[in-house]
Amino acid sequence: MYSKLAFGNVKKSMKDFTVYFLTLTFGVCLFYVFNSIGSQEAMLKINESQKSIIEMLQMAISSLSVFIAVILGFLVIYANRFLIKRRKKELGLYLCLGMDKRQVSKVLIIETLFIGVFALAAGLLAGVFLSQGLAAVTAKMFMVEMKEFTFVFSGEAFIKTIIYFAVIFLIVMIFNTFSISKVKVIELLTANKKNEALKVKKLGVSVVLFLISVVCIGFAYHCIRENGMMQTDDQFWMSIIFGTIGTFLFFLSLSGFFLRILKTNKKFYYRKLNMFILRQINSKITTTFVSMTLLCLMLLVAIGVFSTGAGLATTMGRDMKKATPYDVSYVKYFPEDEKNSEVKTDMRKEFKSKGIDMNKFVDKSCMISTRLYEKLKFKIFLNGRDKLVDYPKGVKASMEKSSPEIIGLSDYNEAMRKQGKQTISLKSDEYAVNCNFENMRKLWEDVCKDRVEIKMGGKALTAKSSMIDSTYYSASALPMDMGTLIVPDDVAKKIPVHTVVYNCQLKGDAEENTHKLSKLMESVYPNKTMEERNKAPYHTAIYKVEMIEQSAGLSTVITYIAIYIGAVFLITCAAVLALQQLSENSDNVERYNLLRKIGADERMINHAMLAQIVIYFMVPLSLALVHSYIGVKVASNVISTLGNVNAFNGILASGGAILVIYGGYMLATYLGSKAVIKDKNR
Amino acid sequence: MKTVLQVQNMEKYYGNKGNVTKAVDGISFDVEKGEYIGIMGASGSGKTTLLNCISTIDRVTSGYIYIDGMDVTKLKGKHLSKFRREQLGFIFQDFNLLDTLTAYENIALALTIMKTPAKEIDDRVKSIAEKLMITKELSKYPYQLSGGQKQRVASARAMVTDPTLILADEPTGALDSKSARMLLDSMETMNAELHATILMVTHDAFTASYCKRILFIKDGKIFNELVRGRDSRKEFFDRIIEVVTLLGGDSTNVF
Repeated sequence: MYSKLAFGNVKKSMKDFTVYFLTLTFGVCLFYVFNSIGSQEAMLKINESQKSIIEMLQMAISSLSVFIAVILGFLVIYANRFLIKRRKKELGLYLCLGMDKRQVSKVLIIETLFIGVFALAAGLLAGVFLSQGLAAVTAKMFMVEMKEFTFVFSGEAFIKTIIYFAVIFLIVMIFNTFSISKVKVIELLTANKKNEALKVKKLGVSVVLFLISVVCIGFAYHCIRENGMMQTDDQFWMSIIFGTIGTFLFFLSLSGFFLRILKTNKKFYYRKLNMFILRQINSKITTTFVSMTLLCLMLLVAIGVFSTGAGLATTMGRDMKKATPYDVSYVKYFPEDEKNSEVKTDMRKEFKSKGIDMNKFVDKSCMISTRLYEKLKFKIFLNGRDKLVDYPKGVKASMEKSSPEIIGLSDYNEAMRKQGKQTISLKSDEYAVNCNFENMRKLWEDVCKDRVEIKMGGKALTAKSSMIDSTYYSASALPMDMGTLIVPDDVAKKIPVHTVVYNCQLKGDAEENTHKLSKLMESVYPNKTMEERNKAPYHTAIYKVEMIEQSAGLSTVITYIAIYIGAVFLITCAAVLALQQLSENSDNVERYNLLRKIGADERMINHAMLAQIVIYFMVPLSLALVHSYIGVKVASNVISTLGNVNAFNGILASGGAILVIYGGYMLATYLGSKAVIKDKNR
Repeated sequence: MKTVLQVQNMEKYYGNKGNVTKAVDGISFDVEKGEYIGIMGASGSGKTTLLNCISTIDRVTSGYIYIDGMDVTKLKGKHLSKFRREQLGFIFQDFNLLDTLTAYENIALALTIMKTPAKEIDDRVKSIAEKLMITKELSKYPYQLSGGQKQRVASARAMVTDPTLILADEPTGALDSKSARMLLDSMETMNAELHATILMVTHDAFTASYCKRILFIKDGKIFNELVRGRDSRKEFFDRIIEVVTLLGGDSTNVF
């Protein structure tokens, strides 16, 4: 009997439930797909190190999922509260007919169960199929082949999804029962007649608040730009706090402010339904500014995560070839206060003494050393050129105090020869600059053009007029040479050694030999503890093959996590906005009917509705876009310390995603509202 | 006198085959310009249906309704809305003011929908507000107003467009007796001084006694007609009560 009633209710109010249902399904689907990533490796041809990356990804997503579940849980409870609010009269009728509160909440529980079970089933079904497609994407991102197609089903993810959502629905049921047990029948029955006590604020106050909010937000932007997101200091927190307060005040005062401004334009204000539209939005935003603030901040996170994630992923994949001219590099570091300027380390000999014959693997090799001259700081080069480097002040300040690497001419040329590249020549009073780090390029080019003079080893040197952008140093994931000075050998000999690098090109099948060599090295020089690491003749071993694998793996991890968080945040926001609009439709039906009676035609009414929906959706998005523009710009500076970033692709990708998801919800809201307020008589 | 409203043999049926309810069953009458006409009847007599059809909110099953010489039963879509906003003014039982707008804006809304130039709006709203004695209330929101004030705002909204015909559906239905009396005085002013033609539906004899002519409806048909003529309102009220007694207590049916 109760289930019949509940089922009838769900069927009857399908229109209201559609957005809710689809959002739930979408959430379940995302949840399953991302949690099933671990089991996709069955379809991919991957090796051990890639496997461990996938495991890491799986772990990361697993712990993220708890957070995501909390977000989705809030969404479900929020949505549910709206649906209950809409049906107060119906619930009141049940109570009037003599059902007791426990029975009414039973009906609600069965309803929640119905929707929950259906959404779960639909979401899981969609998720299982979608995860097959995701395997192909994963393969592409890892740059590996796919094995033959096998149908992947992750029992673990399946059960996990069910458990998480079961908990969410359980909480919803408890919540419903609780809210029903509190209400009075008379309140339920007259719920839709009750005039909402409008909080009317003086419009003048809004103007003042609006100006304060703009100042707050501006100050927050200023703080974050100064701070550069490099460290979490006071300035960083100031930016977060002022940003949040500013956003809050912005929504609190926004509609009042615009109403005030537009009211002065009588021609606009008293035109068709403009007055009605503005007042409606004003009353809506002044009652929902708290959730507006939250939505805006969530959208900021979604957009920020989307675009920086995508930017980071594209950065990591690029420039790999250029950055790794060697198959293997072994690097030994010397402490910064090292006084010794003579190179005593010979890694090849040390390896041989432990029984590793490098001749078996190596085709060509070179051993080079870089040096550090304490008295020479970046300050010399930065002076008067700091506009050419796009870093926040704090970073520039600490950079001024550091010294650039120095390499002797013959070492540099040796490295170039082994790479098959052109060598360079220097006059005895010259130095050259090598730099392949995008953010520093302009600075060094200018230094070379100005032929800046430096003093080193008791000698004055002038810069050679053209900059070089090769990679000489070692294998690395990114072009990381922030600027190296190439100096004549007699000068170099007087400067303390900083690193010794042993670079090798391998014979035959480089990939196979890399694995053999890395295994061998690890067995002779285990590097689990600090002590062990200090004993070995090198501190870091960089293998090109592993580097590429890891880099591809890392960019996959970042991208997936970005998409996961971004997508969930985005649908949550869009769904909340849509539900807020749709749940008000019952009130709006009355208003639109009145407008119709006093002679507004359908076009005016549809226009008024569309304008409200669009403005309501766009207001939090617009502010979030401005916020994230600043945020992403600062963040891309951080990323560019890792390599040059091209956030454009990321922004394009996130723009597309937002357009599709957000636009979809907006359209659904419009169509849903249109159907509800449609004139029944015509 | 010019005929403003002409209802000819109007019928409105509800339901389907086998179970037809004749809500309005062949009603005909005329309303002249400047008249204040009341329609009375018990619940379910068809008076609200009649009003809805005249106000073009509902469609007739058969028959004709002419307002200012135009057959409104043939109007559709855009023309219908245009006709409604230009020729008709509405006063409802439950006020139907937009709660998000101030009283001033509620009145102005009727004008903005008609695309009245912004310059004219202020003068017109203020002058009608003055006549209905709600000037002080203009900047308030509906929830700050009493029932009577709300209904006078609604009347002002109906009047401000200078419509051919004002339709009032139980305007005193949600008011206490003092507010009702004030509203009815206002409506009398509208009729007498502003020459508004008013058609009012009510089942309250006191409210009806303010009209100049009353049509009584029973089971979808015109049952009786009273004209006030030179009677005082008290005398007219007594005559109405007589008809109402007759209307409600048709002894042959009850016993």
